[in-house]
Amino acid sequence: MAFATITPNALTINSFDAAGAVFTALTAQGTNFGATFKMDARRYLIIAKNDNDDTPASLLSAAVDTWGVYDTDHYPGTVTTQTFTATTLANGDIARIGYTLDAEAATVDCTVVKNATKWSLTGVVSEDLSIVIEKLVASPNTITVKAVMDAGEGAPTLTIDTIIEIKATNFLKIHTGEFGVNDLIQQPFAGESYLYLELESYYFKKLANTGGYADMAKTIAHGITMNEKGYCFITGTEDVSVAVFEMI
Amino acid sequence: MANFVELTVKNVSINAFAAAAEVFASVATNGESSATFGAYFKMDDAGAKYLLVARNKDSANADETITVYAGNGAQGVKDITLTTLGFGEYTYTCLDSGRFKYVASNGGYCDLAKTIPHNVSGLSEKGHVFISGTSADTTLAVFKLV
Repeated sequence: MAFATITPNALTINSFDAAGAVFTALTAQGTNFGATFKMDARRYLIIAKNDNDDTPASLLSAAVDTWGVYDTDHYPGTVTTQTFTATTLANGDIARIGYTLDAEAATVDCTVVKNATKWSLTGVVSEDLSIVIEKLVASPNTITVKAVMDAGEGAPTLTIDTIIEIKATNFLKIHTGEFGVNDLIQQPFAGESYLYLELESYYFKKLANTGGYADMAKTIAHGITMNEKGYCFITGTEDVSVAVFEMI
Repeated sequence: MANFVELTVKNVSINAFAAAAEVFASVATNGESSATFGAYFKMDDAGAKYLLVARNKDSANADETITVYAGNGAQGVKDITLTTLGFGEYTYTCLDSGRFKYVASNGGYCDLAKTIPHNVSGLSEKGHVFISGTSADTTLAVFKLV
């Protein structure tokens, strides 16, 4: 087994490419999952998706009752009693809030901020609406849910259905080349979500065959021993796949 | 009245990750008796490049057809269409504003799009790009390149 070899998709201007696959799954080499592609162009667009659909149990024992969203000038928040098992959340984890806004279900990911006294989650739903959930460490069954909404935006109804902890171990890393300084790391990389960026070859292309990455990748497909010179290396966790577009 | 869906354009950064729970959105029906499914996005930057990625998400139907409509500027001479987007397949293209951006609001696609969300009526198509699919199985993502 080897790292997957990605063939970058060449972008065409004003015409569709033939339909087909664009994402390549990271494949295992020992305990590492990874992929590599030949970096012949100066810049690439990368889209990565994490198809991990493990759905942990909600931290809420039940959905928080429907409550109105109001102009915060007049209604600064709502306090409700609910069992909220937040003990495994840590500062920097991602929590996914499942909510129903005006009968339409959706999710929003937010970063957990935890200090000695409380956990705090802020999910930005739109330009006009944010959901803020706070729980004091000392009050296990009381959370504060607050909708922060611009004045004059109406009064939709909102239910907090679930709060799910995203595994902090999922990650995606783009390894730096010899001229680069740091690897790019996204951790945690939430399940059922995407990452995207443009990547410069100057920083991420391997310029020499040092053996460092060959040690991970060992061989490319078809059993050819790999020379990493000219390649970009991506590692991550299982269920991650990557699309690479060669910029024009 | 149903509307075409407005796509949220994803701004791409150089050498820095951006994250999103979802980047694809399904085209939506305009609710007419002879329904058209479509989407639009604001092409708000002069000279910018936009990458459109389309995916057929449903195995129950035949191949999807996707069309990007020509704009009404001087270069807006011809739509582009792909008729063979099979289940699970992707296609992509880099869109030029000169070819596909509406530079005047003449009501042509207002008639399809009707209103934008939140009941703001009278969508002006000026500055927008319009895309249609066969059904809601066509999903689209738009990236604004650096």
